[in-house]
Amino acid sequence: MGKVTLRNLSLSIGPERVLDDLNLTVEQGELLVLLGPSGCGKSTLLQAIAGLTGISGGQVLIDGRDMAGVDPGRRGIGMVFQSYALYPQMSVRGNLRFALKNAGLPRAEIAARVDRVAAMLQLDGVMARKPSALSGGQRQRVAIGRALVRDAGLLLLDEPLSNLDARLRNDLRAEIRRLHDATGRTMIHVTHDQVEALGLADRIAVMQGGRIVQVDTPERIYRQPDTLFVAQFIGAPGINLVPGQVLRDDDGWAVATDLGRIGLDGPPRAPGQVQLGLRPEHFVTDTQPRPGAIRAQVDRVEPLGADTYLHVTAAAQRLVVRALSGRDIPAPGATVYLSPDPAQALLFDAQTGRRM
Amino acid sequence: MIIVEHPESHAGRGWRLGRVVVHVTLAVVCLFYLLPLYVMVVTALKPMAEIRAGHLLALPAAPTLAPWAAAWSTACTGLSCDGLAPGFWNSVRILVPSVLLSVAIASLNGYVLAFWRMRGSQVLFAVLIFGAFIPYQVLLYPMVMLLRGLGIYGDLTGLVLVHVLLGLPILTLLFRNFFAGLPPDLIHAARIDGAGFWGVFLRVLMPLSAPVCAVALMLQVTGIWNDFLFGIVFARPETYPMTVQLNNIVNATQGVRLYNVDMAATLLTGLVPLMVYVVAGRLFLRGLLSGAVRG
Ligand SMILES: Nc1ncnc2c1ncn2[C@@H]1O[C@H](COP(=O)(O)OP(=O)(O)OP(=O)(O)O)[C@@H](O)[C@H]1O
Ligand SMILES: [Mg+2]
Repeated sequence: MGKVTLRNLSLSIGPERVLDDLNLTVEQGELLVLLGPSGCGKSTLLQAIAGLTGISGGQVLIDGRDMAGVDPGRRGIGMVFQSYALYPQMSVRGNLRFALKNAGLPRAEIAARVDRVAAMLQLDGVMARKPSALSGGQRQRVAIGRALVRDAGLLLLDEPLSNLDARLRNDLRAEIRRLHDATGRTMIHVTHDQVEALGLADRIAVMQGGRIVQVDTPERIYRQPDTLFVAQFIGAPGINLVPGQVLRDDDGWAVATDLGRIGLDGPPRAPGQVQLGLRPEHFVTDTQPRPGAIRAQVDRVEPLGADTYLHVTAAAQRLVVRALSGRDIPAPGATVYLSPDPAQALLFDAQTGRRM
Repeated sequence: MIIVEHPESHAGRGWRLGRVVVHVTLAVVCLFYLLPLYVMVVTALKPMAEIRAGHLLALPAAPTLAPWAAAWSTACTGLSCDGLAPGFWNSVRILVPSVLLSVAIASLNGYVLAFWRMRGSQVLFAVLIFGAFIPYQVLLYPMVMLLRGLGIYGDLTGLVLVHVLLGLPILTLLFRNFFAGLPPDLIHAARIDGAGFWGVFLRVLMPLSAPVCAVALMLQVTGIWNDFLFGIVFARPETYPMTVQLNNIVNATQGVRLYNVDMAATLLTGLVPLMVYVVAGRLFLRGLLSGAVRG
């Protein structure tokens, strides 16, 4: 139950192609996170899967069945909306049982199912309240409960955590993951928060301008982004990109950049213009000169709890690097020496943006 | 009214002067509207002898409700002496079905126009806006022809039809705009929850529509109750609404003018719209306050 297949799915609104030839399979029981910047078509894609909007081309299949012409209420899905969209005139109980009443279930069964979901989401105490009398977190749980109560095999969640404070967001993120593991349902979770995506997903589908540019595990999305866009979108602070030229010299393959020669290891590469991608943790940062290290000046120190990041300038290039923990943190204005780890460096074709 | 006073500003005197001007103006305007009402009320409570004595503004020396009773049940038009009562019941019989039908149809129309994209809905919308602003006089003759053709000219049914038809454009716009302003996700959620065309309308949207229903109710009740033009054109003496009846009583030419009865009759006729403002107005406010649509 709940396997989703998209085949060449397209959707245009007026002249604009909002979804462009999407192909994607979400396996049964998988938690897939749709990640992308604002306006890239994530909500539209969920609505297309749910049947809330018409599509211009291609197919949506749920459990192998073509959903063309099937009502949203008959697709076997539950949905959580970004705005929650709780029925304001109904109590929490009324919200939870609305779908079951529409389905014409017997009263006893409705009551049993509503109570079960309410217990699972700890909503017992607020069942008689109207949504306007709930906290943000409670509203969010009612919205999830409303999607769960139908026992649908597929759950679509459209940025359910986006308008909560950071603390609550973390709690509820864990709760969503726990719910997924407990119920075994297929979930498609939309977000533009990459931390949320990395922490939650079985697989992440990264969207850009109505297309899916990469579908992979969080680990691989982070370590082996297919394109410059994915590399830049994932990771906070963001990846450092340095333009350069691949060449081969006496010491092997290297990239010539403004920062100097950065040696590469691994298999030989084709010469050409590239963008060299180095994440902040791919540098060893030292206060003493080392052979081959890049000299840089610290502009700003950004302590983010566990890690501290240094914003530095090296040869007119601005970089963000992680300061080694357990050592003295350099002050702004200090000079540091950076040694990039060649094994971690990502190379992108400067023309196409694809990883080489 | 909010008047902000800046402590450091040297315009303090100017502000105070401005406030005096505003208050005096308001008081004059109030007086202008309330004085005739006051005269009507006291006149309607005076016996004729007192009125002839001529103190227009004096309080009644021996207040009496007799003029009210006369206005209700025995005042004479040129033809009969049954008072306003028959007109009142005619008006009720016109008002209730007209209001219910027009609000029911208009809310449904507004719902369809707001959410269910269909061919020609844009054109229909434009026509509706146009329809809301057509002067009624232009429609009189075609309407007479239409009702004749249908064989209900002079019937209450015909009058109801006229009121419903003419109320639809503006009410439909009202409902459409209200529905179109609701978050679309609310309707999406209802559709996912398996609500169909009627389920979305009756169970999700209408319960949220108290404010707009109150507005529609006020518009329609006052409009239809106060209507004189259609009443006199489309009704017969037996089916005259209260306004036409009032006109005929006040303008009856035989005998002495009973000012107290005329005033009482006028006040009685105005009572219904007044009550609707009080009741629906409160409903309207409550609807607005309990809104919190973005659950
Ligand atoms: N009714 C519409 N008419 C025209 N364009 C629309 C309409 N609805 C959406 N779009 C466009 O479709 C694109 C995708 O919108 P969508 O709401 O799916 O983005 P999103 O990825 O969910 O963004 P966000 O993260 O901000 O929610 C946007 O560029 C938007 O401008
Ligand atoms: Mg969105």
